[in-house]
Amino acid sequence: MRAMHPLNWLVVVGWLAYVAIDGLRRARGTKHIEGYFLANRNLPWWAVGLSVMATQLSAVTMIGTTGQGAVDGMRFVQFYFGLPLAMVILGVTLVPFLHGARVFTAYEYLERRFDAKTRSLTAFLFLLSRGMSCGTILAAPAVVFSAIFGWPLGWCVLLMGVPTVLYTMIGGVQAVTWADVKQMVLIVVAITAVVTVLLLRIPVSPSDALHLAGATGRLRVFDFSFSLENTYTFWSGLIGGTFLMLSYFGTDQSQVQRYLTARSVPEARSSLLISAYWKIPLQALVLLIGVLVFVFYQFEAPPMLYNPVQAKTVRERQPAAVAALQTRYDAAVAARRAAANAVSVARRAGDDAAMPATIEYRARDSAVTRVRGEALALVERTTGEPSKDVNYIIPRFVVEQLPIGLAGLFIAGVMAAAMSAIAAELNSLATSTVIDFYKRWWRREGPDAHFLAVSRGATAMWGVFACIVATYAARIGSLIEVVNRFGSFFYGSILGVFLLAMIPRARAMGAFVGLIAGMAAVAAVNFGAPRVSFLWHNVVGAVTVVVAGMLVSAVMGGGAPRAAAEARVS
Amino acid sequence: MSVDAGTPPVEAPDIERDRRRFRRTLLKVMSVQVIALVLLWLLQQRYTP
Repeated sequence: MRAMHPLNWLVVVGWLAYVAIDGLRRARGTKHIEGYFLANRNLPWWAVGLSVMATQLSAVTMIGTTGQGAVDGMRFVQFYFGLPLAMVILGVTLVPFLHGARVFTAYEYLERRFDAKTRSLTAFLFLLSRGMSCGTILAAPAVVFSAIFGWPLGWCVLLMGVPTVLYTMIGGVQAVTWADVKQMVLIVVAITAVVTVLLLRIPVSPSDALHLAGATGRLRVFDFSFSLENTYTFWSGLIGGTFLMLSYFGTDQSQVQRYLTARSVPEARSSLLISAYWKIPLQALVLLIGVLVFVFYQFEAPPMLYNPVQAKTVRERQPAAVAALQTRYDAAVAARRAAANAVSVARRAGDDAAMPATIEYRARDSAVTRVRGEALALVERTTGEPSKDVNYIIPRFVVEQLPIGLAGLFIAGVMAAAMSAIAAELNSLATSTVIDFYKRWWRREGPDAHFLAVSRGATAMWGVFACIVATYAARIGSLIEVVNRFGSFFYGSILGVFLLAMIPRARAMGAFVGLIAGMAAVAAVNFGAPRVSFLWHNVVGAVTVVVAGMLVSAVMGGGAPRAAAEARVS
Repeated sequence: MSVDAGTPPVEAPDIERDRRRFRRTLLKVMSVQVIALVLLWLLQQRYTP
């Protein structure tokens, strides 16, 4: 495959240097931990709002979701249907509680409302899952860049990891937020530019391009079937998605910390509403890139295998089989190209002529998919590795097809997405480590300089941990999967604990037992019968915690209840 | 926004104002989402045979 032009690398390196240097510049004036972790609660709502979006948008969105758009179409956007409602609900429930309580972490509030063990358990679960996921967020683009550019995986990890750890460690949340603002602008510019270039380079009209995508089902957004096993349906997105987004934005410290930096409760609410307004349109645009790349490859020869490392390995070990498949693939692609052109011509003649051409085109597209499926199966048999190459489609398109400068801009955008997500994770991991554990259990009082040094040390420690996990991601893949799966057990359950915190009659013992019961219920539906898609796990967890927590509170008591409002103002 | 036993009566109009603001916000956010979903629906209907 073609190497990237030096000018593209100049854009990438220039961007990384700019973000790191600007982050370091913002370290000036941070003398105590409220400034380091919460920017003295003085950031403007729009910067906080863009930081919230940047934290959620990782490199996986830029390369994985776009690739999913190319292979599977637009239906993934249903995943986000619950987000706007969740943001509005959070704006009137958890945001005033957490912001008004003047806490550093969401879990700190749970001790005020319940007890220390509930706080420590939820904070520990957060550190466990986010510590590992931070490594996987870094690993995902590093593995792809390593294959595309032919660099060792460790270099790719360090290229993104070192500047991120440096500016997060030295600059704290100020550096993270202002870097997020810049990263978000870059990401939107890169996405818009790529969509524009695609529309210009596809040799048919935008309407014909969408018709070709629609003919293969890639513009089918809505699935109204009610199946608990199917992840991407309208109902799972709307109901399960609402609970997932409530859990993520309401109880995950990596997000809560973003809006705790806002100047006031109304500004914190406004920051969340940026996501409520823009997330679905932005996600649709990201998926549309993939759909348009699919259409682009109707008229340009697409690679049979997108992962260059696997393609090289299988060519070396099975040259005859690959050559035979490549011949069939080239013929199938040529036939599909002719059919796509025929559709375009027929559409100009009218709808009656277009339908038979569309049916023929669909048959040709299925033939291409079949041969590619055989090639992927050959990769699996030959290498013994999974051959899913969805994450490689967009990076290869970018490097091989985009004009000079724009390719660098998009690669910088992918790195920006990874860095902004990792920076927020590191910042929140350090905050929880220092506030929920070190300052709570180890050393309650001390000079600001001491806690600032410990906070920077904790950020560096989590940064090094993330880089190690990312470097060995391939080898410890199964372990990461176990931890991520475990993470999905308690996401909804922690939401349930926060819901209990807002019910005056809920007691500490009820919250603790409810949390355990919620995780057990999610484990049951995950491993046993009935099997349900992971989007519903959060609903099961949250509802179980509230029901079990209220039952235990009613039966056992466990200390005098503390009103939510009282916990807020103490 | 703190609430305790000694809350003065002037809180009542604030709560009412908050409720009105919430209803307005909910209406605006949901309107934008409905428009986005209708556009996606039209895209699906127009181009999926």
